[in-house]
Amino acid sequence: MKNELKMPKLRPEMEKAVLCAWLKEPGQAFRKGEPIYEIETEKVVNQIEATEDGVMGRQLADEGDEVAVGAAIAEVEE
Amino acid sequence: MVYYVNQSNDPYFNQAFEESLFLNAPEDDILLLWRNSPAVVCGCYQNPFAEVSVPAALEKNVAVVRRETGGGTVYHDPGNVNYTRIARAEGQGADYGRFIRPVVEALNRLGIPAAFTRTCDISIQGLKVSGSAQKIAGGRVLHHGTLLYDTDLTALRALANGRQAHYEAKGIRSAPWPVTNIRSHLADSTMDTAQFQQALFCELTRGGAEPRALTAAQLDEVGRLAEEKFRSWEWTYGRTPAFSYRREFLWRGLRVCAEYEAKNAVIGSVRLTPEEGKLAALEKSLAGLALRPELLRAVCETAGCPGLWTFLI
Repeated sequence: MKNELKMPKLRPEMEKAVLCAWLKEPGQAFRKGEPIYEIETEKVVNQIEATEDGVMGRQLADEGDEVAVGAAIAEVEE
Repeated sequence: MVYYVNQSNDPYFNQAFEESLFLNAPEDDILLLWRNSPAVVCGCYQNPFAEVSVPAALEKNVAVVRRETGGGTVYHDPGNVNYTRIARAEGQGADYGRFIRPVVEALNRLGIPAAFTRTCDISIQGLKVSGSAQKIAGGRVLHHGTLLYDTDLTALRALANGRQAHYEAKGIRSAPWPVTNIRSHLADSTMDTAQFQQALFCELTRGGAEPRALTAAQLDEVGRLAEEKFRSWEWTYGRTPAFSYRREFLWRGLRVCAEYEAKNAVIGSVRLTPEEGKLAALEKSLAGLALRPELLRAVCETAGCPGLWTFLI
């Protein structure tokens, strides 16, 4: 099933974050709990873990992009 | 609380020390207090060339360091005390108060009129004495902060004050704020930095702290991490987000314009104008060159333009 990864809201006041690094390339499989990308907001580098097993698809945000909470950042196959 | 003793002043070793404990230590309430020899320390996803006067840092023997946490560039020297807390993460977002409040209270008990300000600073009368940053991964949080006690503020301003005007890039930029030293706000300022660190330690560990030293195997691991990661060009400079550079300057009476694109800190397309003589030869040598300061310097010397490298980063 195709799904979308969305920029998470980690705190109530969070509106956006910089997508700093992809830790998985398109086509790479990942397991639930594995870190798949890093974001930075308010001087915190946050490693975001997969909530389900999946395969990284097309990445919609580039490293360094500032992305609004809730915006799609990648397609994944679950 | 567990306190790991670290008396090293080596900024690369000290980054490795906290990273190694963050990843491997079994305890989930760790305190570190440590100091660095002079160093400019950039955030994990910053461009050190844009944040730091790299040629000036090299000339003054000041280390350029990339850390694991977010945020901007800070200057460290032996007059600055760093504290690190490693704990279990409570939720996924930033939680600064949990770590900063105990430090502010400790400072207040030492008679220092410090307050928790902005998102993650400690200030005295509106001037910043401490900035902090975090990394959250694997259910753990690493929080660390500076405490300017008796830092050379002139060096701080000269070095952690890059050349933003010449750089265009995405990513994380520093947000400078006026700073002050804690020592100049003390009624009794005879206490030196080591004594301040000791006094702070006593206040932060009032509830008790178990001292620990690294085992020989842990020390080896920290040494390996320091050499292979934190001291490497690939980590410090090679991880720089893609950027473009443009700078006009006077070179021996000639108005020169240098422009290039860099990815992973390697020069791609490059243009030096006017395209003539030595500059044309230099332009050819620069294409594809890694932005290693010593390489830039050598290439400029070989092309008959010694010193010009300082205008290229």
